[in-house]
Amino acid sequence: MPILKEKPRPFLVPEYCKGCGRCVSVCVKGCIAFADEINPATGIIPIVLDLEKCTGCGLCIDACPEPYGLRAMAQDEAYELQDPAKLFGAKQSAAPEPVDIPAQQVALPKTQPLIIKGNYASAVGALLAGCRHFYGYPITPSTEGAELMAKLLPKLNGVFLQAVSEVATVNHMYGTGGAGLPTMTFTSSPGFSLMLEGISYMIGAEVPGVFVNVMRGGPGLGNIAPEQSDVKLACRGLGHGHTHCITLMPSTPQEMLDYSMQAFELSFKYRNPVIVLADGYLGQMTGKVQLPAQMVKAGIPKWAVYGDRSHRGNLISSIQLQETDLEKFNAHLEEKYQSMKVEARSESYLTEDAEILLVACNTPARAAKGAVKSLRDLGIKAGLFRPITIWPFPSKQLQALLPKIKHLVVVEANAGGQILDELRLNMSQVGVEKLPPITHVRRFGGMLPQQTEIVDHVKSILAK
Amino acid sequence: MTTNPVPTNQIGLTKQDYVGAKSTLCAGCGHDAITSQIIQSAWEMGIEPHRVAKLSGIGCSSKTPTYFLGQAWGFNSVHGRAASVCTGVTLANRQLVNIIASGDGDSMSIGMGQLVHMIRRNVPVVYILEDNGVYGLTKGQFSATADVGSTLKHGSVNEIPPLDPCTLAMELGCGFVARSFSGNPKQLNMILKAAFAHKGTAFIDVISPCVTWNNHEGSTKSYKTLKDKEMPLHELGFVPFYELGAVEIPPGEAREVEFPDGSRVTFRAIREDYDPTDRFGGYRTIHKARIKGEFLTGLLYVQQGKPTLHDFMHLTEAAIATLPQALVKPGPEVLQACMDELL
Repeated sequence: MPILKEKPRPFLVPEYCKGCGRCVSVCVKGCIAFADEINPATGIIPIVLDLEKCTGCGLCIDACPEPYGLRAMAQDEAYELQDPAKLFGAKQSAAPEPVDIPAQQVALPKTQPLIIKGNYASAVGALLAGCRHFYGYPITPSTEGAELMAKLLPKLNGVFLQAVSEVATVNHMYGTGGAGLPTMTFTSSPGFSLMLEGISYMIGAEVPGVFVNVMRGGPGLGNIAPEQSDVKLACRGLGHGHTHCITLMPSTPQEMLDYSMQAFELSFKYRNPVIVLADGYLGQMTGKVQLPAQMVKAGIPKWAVYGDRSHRGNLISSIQLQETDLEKFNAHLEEKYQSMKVEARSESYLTEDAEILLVACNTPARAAKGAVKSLRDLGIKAGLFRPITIWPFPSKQLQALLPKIKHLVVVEANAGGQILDELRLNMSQVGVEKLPPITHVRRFGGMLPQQTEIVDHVKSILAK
Repeated sequence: MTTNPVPTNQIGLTKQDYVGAKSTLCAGCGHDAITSQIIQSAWEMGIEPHRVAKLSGIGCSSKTPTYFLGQAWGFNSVHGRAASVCTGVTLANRQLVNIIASGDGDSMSIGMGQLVHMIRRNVPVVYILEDNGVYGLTKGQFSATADVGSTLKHGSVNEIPPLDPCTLAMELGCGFVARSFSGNPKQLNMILKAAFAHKGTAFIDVISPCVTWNNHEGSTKSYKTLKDKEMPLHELGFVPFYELGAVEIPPGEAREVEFPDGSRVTFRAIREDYDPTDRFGGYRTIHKARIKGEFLTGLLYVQQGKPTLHDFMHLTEAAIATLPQALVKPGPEVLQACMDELL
């Protein structure tokens, strides 16, 4: 290491010059000027030094904002570029390698079934899944879920926080999820729209969290009655970037509890948010709900930023500035989404000999089930196929039924056929080239398809 | 037999021309009392209803524009975003008189970001915050203006300190900040008339009890508590510009503030002399009153002559939409100059 002169002159590796010109303006002797040509390595015009008049005052070195820019250097020193990654690689740490603290199953005593609203059932499911952190903003028709959490969580050493908006809500969840803890919210369509940005970040940072969207009529403010018009958001529009989440669609208060519980498990299994899409009717509907035999005591995953010694190297972030890194990360996400396809599930009702197959989710599936019974009474071979996960779509299950089916009827509560779109797209992706004729029964704006409408529709098809 | 003619204002309209649809709020809601004062003051000020834009977000308060000025333009916008929508409206047509009816949930939580920047830009609008400390439409959760120690209907107690919309607006440099009470129609009427005369953002926090979710014992914003605690700072008088010649303003101790259109507000002190042009004195008085649990009402701060958004954006007096093509079309020289810059 050469000993520096008392008043060192500046030295510059042109590749590190950003061309800001701060040194040009501070040099009192006029030694520094911009070069005539662009540096091909950086695409920037660097400065050039003419040190004939240099007094070594050092002002230019102070002015340079670049850590590797203008440096004090003995004039003829040999200098070699070093890779900063090698200089500042992974820091040595004495901290132990983080390990998973697994969640535990705790047996529950057998109880009488509860008679509760769908929203309450979902909240109870979340509590039994170990969720002790709830953030939410009141919005009809989902508010009862938050209400029950506000009542119960303080007694369970949990946290209930009424956020200032849905934007704040999703970011509270991002924080708690990043700490590796189960967290959730209840919202309804307009609120879900506001959360999409945050969901994209949570997916990008691989943070779990459960969103129960009790869908209502849209677009805009719409109304507070049930609709199924956020299927496209959950399946195809979870914020920007390559995003997908497992999306469950319950159709009874019992399923609101069961799927909310399972949502937490799936969310931690895949380190990804999970959406529960209910409709306003189901949220408000009262029904018999049996508690499960087991509840969950949450663990701590090894990736979590938990604020303790064994997790101090962990980082939650969704930024990947290097194009190659982000490409690799997106490939990893895609691989993860493909691996989620095993979670696809559905219910088939009287489908063994069915020729007319109804497809429906949520509350409309109940009307469709009623319609199947009525049609069977009339001697018509009808059946119901109910996707329980709308993403991933139960393509294999539907594909297996198709050979016998003469006609598909998609029953849904939105104007454009969002469930039908998912069906067509997913069937084409698994290579089904020819589908049986498809018609639909749709009500929207807060109206739901009625059992009689479905029966009449099927009868009119057969009359043709 | 002669019938009494229906009274008309200076532009020949009756008060009936300023009403809206029938209210669907709960019977006794403070918001309805505010609605009737908006109707009364707009009629007295002779505002042309077709030149008014009524904006709102989501909440009980945001339903109220339906109930006043049925002949005005209505814009029921997004939760908390009325301030931003209003900024867009006033830039598109500066000739409109803007009224925003918002609530404490809409303004002080989800819409806070929008509101503070609307005030900072001094968007010309009469901003009425119908403040009851509770989310009415979703069945009674605390809002950000709920006082510490106030209880909800089912008993839970608020422990998080409230935001004060008025000191916030003063801090942001709002040129017209008032607090009133839906149970004090006379004062609210004076404040609203002065707000219509103000150029720029006029911010009015009107405490308006929620009779359904926040009117029980233990609530600090029940009708009874507010009635007992209300402490008007001054007796307000308002002399509109069109009556200046006819009214003699009595000399004496009353303070007076003149508005750009020539209207004047007079202040007659009730308890102590409060200077509504002294921002820091205002903070002190408001904070002291809050510690003592008093509910001060009145015109808290007035400063005339601040530039508005229209000045910042260098807009013409006439709305661009109304200008002839010859005036708004850039000539070939301008286009050539733009091209030269790019070459």
